[in-house]
Amino acid sequence: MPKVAVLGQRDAVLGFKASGVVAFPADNPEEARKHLQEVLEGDYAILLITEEMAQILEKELEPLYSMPKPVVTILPDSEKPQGMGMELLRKRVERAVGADILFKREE
Amino acid sequence: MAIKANATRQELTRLKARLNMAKRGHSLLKDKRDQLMKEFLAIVHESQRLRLELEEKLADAYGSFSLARAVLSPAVLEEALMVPGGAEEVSISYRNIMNVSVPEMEIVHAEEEKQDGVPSEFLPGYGLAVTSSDLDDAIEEFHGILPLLVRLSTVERTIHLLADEIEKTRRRVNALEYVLIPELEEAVKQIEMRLEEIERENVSRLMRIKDIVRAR
Repeated sequence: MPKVAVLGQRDAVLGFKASGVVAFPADNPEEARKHLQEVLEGDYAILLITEEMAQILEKELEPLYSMPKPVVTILPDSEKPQGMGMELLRKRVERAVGADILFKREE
Repeated sequence: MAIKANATRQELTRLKARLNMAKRGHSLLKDKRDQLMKEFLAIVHESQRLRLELEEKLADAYGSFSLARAVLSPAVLEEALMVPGGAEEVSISYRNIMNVSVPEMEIVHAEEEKQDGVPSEFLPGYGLAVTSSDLDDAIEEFHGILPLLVRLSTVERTIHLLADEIEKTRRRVNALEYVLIPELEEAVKQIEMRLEEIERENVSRLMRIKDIVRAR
């Protein structure tokens, strides 16, 4: 059975570690890349990734969005959420619909 | 760019058949696009709601965790979390929306819990003697977020896949509507005009010949 992985800075992933998620703490980009490789080789259904990490690994993550597994989901950052996940969602909606329908309504 | 074709009856029939086909394809694709859009819009709002919920809950969980971290010494914390709690497993199945295969993921609880018939309560894998209850709370919160995360992942992936498909379908619809169909119509018109012209030429030629024959 596939598992859930979380990749991010040590502080951000520790909490997940004991709660049923396989944690890959990474403190620098090289480590992050190495761990990402591990995740890709292992049997993981979902890869949770912190905003900061997602920015660092942007290029590496790009091809994953159209792969069946793992599903990459961006976690809001612990200290200063930047709304990257929402931004990604907004972009996709804009691409599909041709207009930004999500956030217009809220204004 | 116009379609070049010989002005023959055979060519005309062929072009008309193609035009018919293009029109049928166009209306089919249009239906597909509309249906995809319907599915897409339904799920987009769910995703937005889930993400807001996640951001809120995760902030809480991080808060509880920092509290636990403040109380416990880093060494104890590190040690407590060294033991991986039983990793939750996820089942994936695939659902078909308009020929787009989207994943459906769910957390599968460990076998033994199911056998006992006891509602699965999460037990941390560390000693309770050296850690504070703040840590338990934090871990429980993180664990509570998990189903939400799995659902959000499913929904976001579905959105991504649908968005790709909608874009592709929309391009096809537009290509048919604004390029192929007008071009075919133009070509059919051209050939029809040319054929009529040939017909008229023929008639006048016959009349001329008739005149010549009669004059003799």
